[in-house]
Amino acid sequence: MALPKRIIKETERLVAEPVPGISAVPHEDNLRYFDVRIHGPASSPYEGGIFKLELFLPEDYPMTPPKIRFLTKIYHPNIDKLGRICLDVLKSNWSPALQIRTILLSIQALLGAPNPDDPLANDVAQHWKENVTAAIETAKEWTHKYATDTAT
Amino acid sequence: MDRISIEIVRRRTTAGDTPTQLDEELHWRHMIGNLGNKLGHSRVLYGGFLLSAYTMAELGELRYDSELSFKSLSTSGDHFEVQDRTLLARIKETIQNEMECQVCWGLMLDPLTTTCGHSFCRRCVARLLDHANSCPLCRKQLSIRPGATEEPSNQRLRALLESLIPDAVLARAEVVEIEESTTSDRGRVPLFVCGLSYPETPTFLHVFEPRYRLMIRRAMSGDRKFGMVAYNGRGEVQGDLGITQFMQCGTLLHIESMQLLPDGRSVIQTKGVSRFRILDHEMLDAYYVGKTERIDDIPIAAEEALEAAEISRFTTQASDPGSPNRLLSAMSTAELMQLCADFIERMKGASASWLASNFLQAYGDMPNDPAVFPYWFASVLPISEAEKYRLLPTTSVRERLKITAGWVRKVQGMSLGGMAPSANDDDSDHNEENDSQEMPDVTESTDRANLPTNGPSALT
Ligand SMILES: [Zn+2]
Ligand SMILES: [Zn+2]
Repeated sequence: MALPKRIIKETERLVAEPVPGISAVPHEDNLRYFDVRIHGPASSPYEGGIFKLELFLPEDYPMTPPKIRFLTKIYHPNIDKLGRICLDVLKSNWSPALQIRTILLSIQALLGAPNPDDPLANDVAQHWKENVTAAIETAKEWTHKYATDTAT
Repeated sequence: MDRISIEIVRRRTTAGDTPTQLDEELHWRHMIGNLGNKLGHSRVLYGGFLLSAYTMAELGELRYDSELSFKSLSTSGDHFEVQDRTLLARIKETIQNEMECQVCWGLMLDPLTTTCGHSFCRRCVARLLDHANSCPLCRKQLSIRPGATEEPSNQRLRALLESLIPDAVLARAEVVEIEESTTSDRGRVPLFVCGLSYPETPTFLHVFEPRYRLMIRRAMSGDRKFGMVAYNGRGEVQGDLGITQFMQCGTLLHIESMQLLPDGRSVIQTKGVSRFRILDHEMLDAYYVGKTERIDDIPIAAEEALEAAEISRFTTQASDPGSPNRLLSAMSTAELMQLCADFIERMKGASASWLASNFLQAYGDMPNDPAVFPYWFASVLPISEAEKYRLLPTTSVRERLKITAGWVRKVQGMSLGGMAPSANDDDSDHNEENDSQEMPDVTESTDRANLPTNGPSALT
């Protein structure tokens, strides 16, 4: 099946004008499936880490949002053990005027501003609320352990 | 529009030469009744016709409905023409970018402007409404009826596009036409994965899933046909297709009537046209489209030859018309039909619930045409879907009547007043929850069509 014009254009623009700190590359055999890498934002516990995600554009995209999850383990109150992300624009606040680029930017922003009041990973959120310093320390450790070149 | 003024202002700085004499010719309406000011404005401006006309309008000296005459005062020749041409090209390019629909990222096709002031293709608005009732740009509530057929187009935008970049508009319309065309005469049939339907028989559908709203809307604006295929609930291999979500054989339906509900759902009444087998399939905007071949009955001569050959294989004893256990293959096609017709007569006499008046109202009285009778029978008889599905790949009337006569035998073999019969012992477990007849006003509904969609987790 031919890919909708919009998906082709989005992919072209992602390549032509990449977002700093973000890359999204479609699979050769499935152009709706992207390998995504997001650099942890500066002065966040995720700084220095490169996080892998998978992104899939469903058949009725952009009427329905892309499906996306973290593949790299991450310690974050809004991201659960399975890598699922709690982000309103990926669910009820999705709009067809949004795009892959804006969604990835939102995820990058979420790394810079964890929100323990709207948690997906309850135990992490709890930790975040009770002892921010310790939680951030754990997030840094995980970043070093799972999201850097030395990580295996 | 802002982009256009930016483009023009940028041009103005380098266009101090090419003086042009401009004379406004007022519309006659302004010339009568306003005697004090019946002359149009006249000016000498710079930068070619387009730029100078724009400047004049900007100065408030060019009425919307005035004509304008130009005369180049350039001493250096026809430089202004080059200027006009480059400016026009830039404006066209700007418009093409500006007029991109924020939903499909293509040039706006038949632009429609919402009350919140945002414009999209009409077809994109219709698709938006299938999913939500808010503007994708500002999230304000949209007050547009489902399908977006009644809203007027934005005539200004439309005129602008069609006069400035007619080629691009045409090209876009053609691409969309190709993308969306699934007319059944080209063998590409949009597929509604739901239940069983049969030729010459009505099917009633409640359409509420966004993808099927879109599919039915497209069918309605085309030949009003789509294919109905049942769920492959048991995950059986479907010929060369492998294990598909749907059964390989289905029925082409024609939409007889459609009732659009205010919230975008609809109730449609369809009638079966012909049967088909799916050879290949793909996705189009979240619904399946199948490459199909028609399944037809063999010609009458071949049908008669088949009947004669089959009957002749049996001894007179096996085909004794008096025996109740007579082999079905030994019976003539007319006798098979008679066996079924007699059964229906008896069941009516016994007031069988599946022959209640509401079913007969929906499906009509028993048809006497032996080619059609099995489809009617399958529509009213409460037996398993797997059993009914056997009718779809048949290529002769005889083959179908043997199947239905088999059902009769099975029902007769059961104790009176028993539970819903199944014609095949192996198939007695029902694979679909709605094997039992629902009320005919909504016999099918797409709610069974909600299967998990492919997500990343499904791919890994
Ligand atoms: Zn559009
Ligand atoms: Zn709006």
